[in-house]
Amino acid sequence: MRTDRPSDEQTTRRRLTVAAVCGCALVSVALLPIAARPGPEIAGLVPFFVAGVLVTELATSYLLLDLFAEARRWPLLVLGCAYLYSGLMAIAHLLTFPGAVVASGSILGAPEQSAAWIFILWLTGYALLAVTAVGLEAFDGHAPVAPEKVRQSIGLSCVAVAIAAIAITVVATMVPEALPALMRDSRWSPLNLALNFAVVSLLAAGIIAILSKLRQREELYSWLALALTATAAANVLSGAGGGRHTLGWELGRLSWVISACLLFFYFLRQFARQQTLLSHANEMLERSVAERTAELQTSNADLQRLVAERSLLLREVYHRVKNNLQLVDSLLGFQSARMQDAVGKTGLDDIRRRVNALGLVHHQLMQSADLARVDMRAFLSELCTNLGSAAGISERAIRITLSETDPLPSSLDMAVPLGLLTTELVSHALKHGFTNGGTISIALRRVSPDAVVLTVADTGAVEPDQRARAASDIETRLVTGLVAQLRGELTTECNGGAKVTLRFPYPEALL
Amino acid sequence: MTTRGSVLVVEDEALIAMSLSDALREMGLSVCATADTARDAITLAGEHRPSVVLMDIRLRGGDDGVDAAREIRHRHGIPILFLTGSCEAEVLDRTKGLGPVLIKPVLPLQLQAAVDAVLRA
Repeated sequence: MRTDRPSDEQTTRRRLTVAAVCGCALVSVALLPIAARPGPEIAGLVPFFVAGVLVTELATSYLLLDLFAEARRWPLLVLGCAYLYSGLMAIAHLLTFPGAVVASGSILGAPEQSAAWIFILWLTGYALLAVTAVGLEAFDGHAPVAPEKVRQSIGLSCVAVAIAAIAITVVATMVPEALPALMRDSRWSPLNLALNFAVVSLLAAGIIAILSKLRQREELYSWLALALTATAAANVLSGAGGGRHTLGWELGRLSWVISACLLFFYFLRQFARQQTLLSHANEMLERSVAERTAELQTSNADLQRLVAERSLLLREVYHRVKNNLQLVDSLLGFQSARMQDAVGKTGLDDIRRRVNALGLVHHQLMQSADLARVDMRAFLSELCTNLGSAAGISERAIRITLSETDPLPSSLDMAVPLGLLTTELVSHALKHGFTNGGTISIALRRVSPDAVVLTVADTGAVEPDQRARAASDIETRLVTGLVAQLRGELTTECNGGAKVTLRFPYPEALL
Repeated sequence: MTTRGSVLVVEDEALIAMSLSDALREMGLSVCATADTARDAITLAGEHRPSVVLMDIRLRGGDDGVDAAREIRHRHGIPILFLTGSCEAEVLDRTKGLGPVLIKPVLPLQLQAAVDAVLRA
């Protein structure tokens, strides 16, 4: 957004521009008295002049058209065309100027008038286009070019400029006699001087427009003001010289080379600035990344500390749960030891087995890496050992085996009811299923991604009906309740023993 | 009455210590004393010279049962049977070479099997 109030930088730039324009004008005026003197013989002056102007103005044209493609503002396109035209006309000048490349005459064999017309039309065209660009920028009422028309605009403009340059060269070379004379006895004709004066006036109008209307605009126009001043100075000195190879004419060539270099220098300066800005931005980015990395490392360390604290806390909780379960077991043990009633004593011992199963779940939780998952195979293995030990299976020739069991991860919500249910089923088989030895086989398999099957099979000789009658009411209620909690289905088979199968869904949270 | 051996029970929960003592007596063992701190455990082990020390790992006042067990083993060469609710790897690592470990809650028959194994060793 543009503001009417100039910044300090803009004010300083305008003052410097005015000072440079005035300084250039003063130097030109100071050189006027000696402009008509014969200049020194400088071999290759014209090729040097043309080469300097050609390279810098074509490069400047390319950079201006590139800037136009980005900003899509008409004045930049017109200014780019001005420098393209100037670069192309420099070639025409080299080809038609007498003695520039070959010792006598020009490469194209054109007469002296051709070179004069090409030169004056070169100047005029450049001045017209440059001042038009300044006028468009000063008017500031134009809409930006549509993005899809940028390439087309550049292409058409370049073609138009090239056609104009070629047409001027052809006409000036082929039919010079049809044009009024610009040279008389190696001196400028009055028409030449008049055209020269008109061009200088046009350039002066452009310079004044920049300093008065565009003083707060882009730095580009400040540099353009200098370039136009140097071109105007070149014309004034050349005109004052009166003809070719005078001091004024040679100084004019030098001034034009300087003029051609000015906008190119502006772009170099912009490039250097952008490099500096890029370097600063890179430094800031690296500093910002380093700071953010340090913050993340600190945050990560804090999180790790919190996780460690949470783990410690959970382990402490599980430890206290297990200690309390041992305490409950001790109380039950006291009561059982002093109980005379055999049924009551058996009931208390059953409760102790269930408490032991709960303790084993917490034991497995404490051993898991994340303190949240229970390995069901390890859990059932330990549970079987404890149940067998409590029931004295070695004396009764009974074996408990754990087969076809996957290392199934489980949560506390699944492990507790499943552990208690296994305890009930195995205890039931041990208490009511055997008369003289046998085997109990336990299997836990994940039969599909979302289903698990627990099987407790035994080879006990006691008939199923007899077992069912022997089962206490509490055992039956516990099994029913735990199956319901697991959302499972329980089936029983009798075929030379008993086989209980529980199929239940694997919790979604564990999938 | 003749016993199969004597046991020093080191446990800071009084009810658990009493329950363990009852269970050990039912197994035909005598309980020579109970202690709930590391210092008392070391002193009583020296006084009674039991056949085995049943040692909890977390003791009253933050005392460490593993350090007490190491001291008893070093001074008197009495075998140790650890009984703990803690099953953290770093804790269990520290008990290596000192004696077997039983994890709470423990059933009487498990306790008997473990004590018998220590006495036979």
